[in-house]
Amino acid sequence: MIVRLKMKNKMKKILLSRSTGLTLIVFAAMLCLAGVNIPQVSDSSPSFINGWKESHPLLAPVISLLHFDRMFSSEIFVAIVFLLFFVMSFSVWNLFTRTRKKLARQNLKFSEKSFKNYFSFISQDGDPVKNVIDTFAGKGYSLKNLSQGKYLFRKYGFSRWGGFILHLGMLIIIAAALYTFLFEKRGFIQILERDTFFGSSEEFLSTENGVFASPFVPNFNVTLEKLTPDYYPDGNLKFVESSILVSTTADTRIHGSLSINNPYKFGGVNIYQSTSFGYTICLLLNKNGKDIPTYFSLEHPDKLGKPFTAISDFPTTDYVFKMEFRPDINGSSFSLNQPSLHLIVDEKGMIQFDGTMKPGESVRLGDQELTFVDIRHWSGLILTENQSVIFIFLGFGLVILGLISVYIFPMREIYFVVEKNENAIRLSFGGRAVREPRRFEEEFRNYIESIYLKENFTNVKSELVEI
Amino acid sequence: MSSLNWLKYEVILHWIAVALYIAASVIFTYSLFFKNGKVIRHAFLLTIIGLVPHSAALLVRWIEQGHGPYMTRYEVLSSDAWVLLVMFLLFSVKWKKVQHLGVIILPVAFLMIAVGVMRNAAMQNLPPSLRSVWLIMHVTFAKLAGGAIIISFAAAQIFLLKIKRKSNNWLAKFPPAEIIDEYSYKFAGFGFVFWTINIAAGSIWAQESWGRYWAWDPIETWSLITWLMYGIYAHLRLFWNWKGKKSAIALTVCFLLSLFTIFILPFVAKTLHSQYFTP
Repeated sequence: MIVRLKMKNKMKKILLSRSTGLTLIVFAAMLCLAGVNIPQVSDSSPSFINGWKESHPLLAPVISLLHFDRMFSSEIFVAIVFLLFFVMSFSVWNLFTRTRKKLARQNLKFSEKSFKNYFSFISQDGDPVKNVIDTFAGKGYSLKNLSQGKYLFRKYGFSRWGGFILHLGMLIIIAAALYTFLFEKRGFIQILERDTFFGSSEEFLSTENGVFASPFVPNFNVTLEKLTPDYYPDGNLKFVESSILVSTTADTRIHGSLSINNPYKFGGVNIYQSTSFGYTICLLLNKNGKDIPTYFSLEHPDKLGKPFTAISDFPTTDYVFKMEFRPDINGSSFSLNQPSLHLIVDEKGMIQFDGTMKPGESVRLGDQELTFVDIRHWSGLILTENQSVIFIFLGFGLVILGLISVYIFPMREIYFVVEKNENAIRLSFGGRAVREPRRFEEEFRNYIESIYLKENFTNVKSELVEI
Repeated sequence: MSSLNWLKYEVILHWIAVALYIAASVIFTYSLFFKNGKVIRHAFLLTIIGLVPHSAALLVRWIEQGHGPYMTRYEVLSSDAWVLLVMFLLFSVKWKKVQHLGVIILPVAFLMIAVGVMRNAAMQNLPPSLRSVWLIMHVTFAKLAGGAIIISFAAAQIFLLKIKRKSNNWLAKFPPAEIIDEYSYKFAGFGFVFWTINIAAGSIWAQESWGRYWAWDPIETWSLITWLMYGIYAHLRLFWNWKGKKSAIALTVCFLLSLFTIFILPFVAKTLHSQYFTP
């Protein structure tokens, strides 16, 4: 029983220890550092990763073993974040109870260790207490009567809660980030104008769901009605907007639009406009009397006026298609004024066709016929479902609030004692600041001197004594 | 007037500002060497006069290109220097002892502008993802963080010099070492606050733009590492009593990290920020 209690106390001590928290933060920073220096599978091509592994034969097996090539979802990183969350929970609770206790205390002793800077002087004239109170009130200090003849002046008292608020904010951010890691749903769709996404998980081109997230099945349909891009005169992209129709089985039909930085929100799902969009070309190959339609989605070029290009194979054939599409062969326009497709068809190194096609035209590829059937816009949309985002921002708000109160408004306390006898009044002052004590000491001396130099003190024989 | 003509005037205005800031730097140094407190006023006056062509150059560009100075190295460095100088002037009014740091701040500022002006000054349009109010918040606070961090770094360096060369007459004219140490901590605190707001605003912007508040992009990750380092510095100072030399060295490390994150990384790493922060 005693052993268990000792263990419990030891554990509590470890969890509440600042060293533990700091060590975990150092570990987290080191893992982040490793994460930005080791190529990550999420943002590097497989060939780059393989090349990197080959050039680092000693390091590569360790990195693969520890999953550091996907650092921010690796078991070690997640474990560190979990531990940090756990330790911080204790720390936040501890900060809360400690701060509450400190604020509630009434019996500060003048000789207390923390009141290092204090002065005392004697006045023989009247009652200077009001003067002192007015002086500190004018400097933004609020007064708290402790007991008969004892006063506490406090400036930025709310700052005492700064540490607690800051750490609470961080705790909320970590909790929300862990929720995102575990339960976020995210998918990317490529949708053609006039086509509909029916909300099934198979329709996503790619998904990135949380570890414990169920398949992403949005409870609605999305039809792309129109894609509207806009360009600067120099040909750079200025704006892109998708007009959509959202419908549900309950006969709800809502027209909406979304653009970059202006997502569309429906049923707990956010739909974002990605910077991916372009034209989809439908080519129909008649092979042995059978029609094989294939859609090629061409990404928009980085500048207006350049062609939309793609290289792709053609299903069920040995053909490789090299395409260069221009919506307007005579000008720099995104609109389909005079669309033209320059197509090179390669079959096992032999060029089968090299020429230009317009919509509706057909060409012969040996004994087969290829027809340029259709051309439509496509838009890349990102769908996400994550309930924790609001908590991330709440956490940020608290962290900022906590930091501002800690660093911009550091708390100052001045302790003031009045002792009277028949002939004189003795005024004693003590000052305390946890942050920037030397600067506060100077400020404090100035206050005391200004009180001392005021008329009712200078007219009498009084004495400024530094204890 | 064509954009090319505007550019010409803008560059001239920048060089006028650089010349005035160089003159102010000379006076700051003179005032310290010869312990002539009166001439420091002239240094401040020259800095304020220098801010006029500097502000005009930035304003002209802002109006002409229709967006703030956050796209090219030229405008980023110039506006960062502007924020640094305005912060320095404002803080000098509030805390007189900060005034002497002008001996480091002014040269840093004019070097930033000079390096910027020597880069390509061509204007660039804003990509669609940058057309957001959160970007303005993000960039503003990044600049404020940069300014505060440079001031705190300047204070830390003066502190280190002061304790190393105690008998140096020139250094003796600065405020006492402990006070400089506290100023370096204070400005690091400001930098920490602004850095946090910068990260938060960037995160909200990313959420609005890409539906993801954090993507472990290299700049985001380095920014987080820098933030954590400032957090570690703050804890070491408060709870492990890392004051004085240890604190100044830790702050120097944090400054170097911030410098790398803000000024170097966008040019060397493949990051979301590189396409916006072009040479």
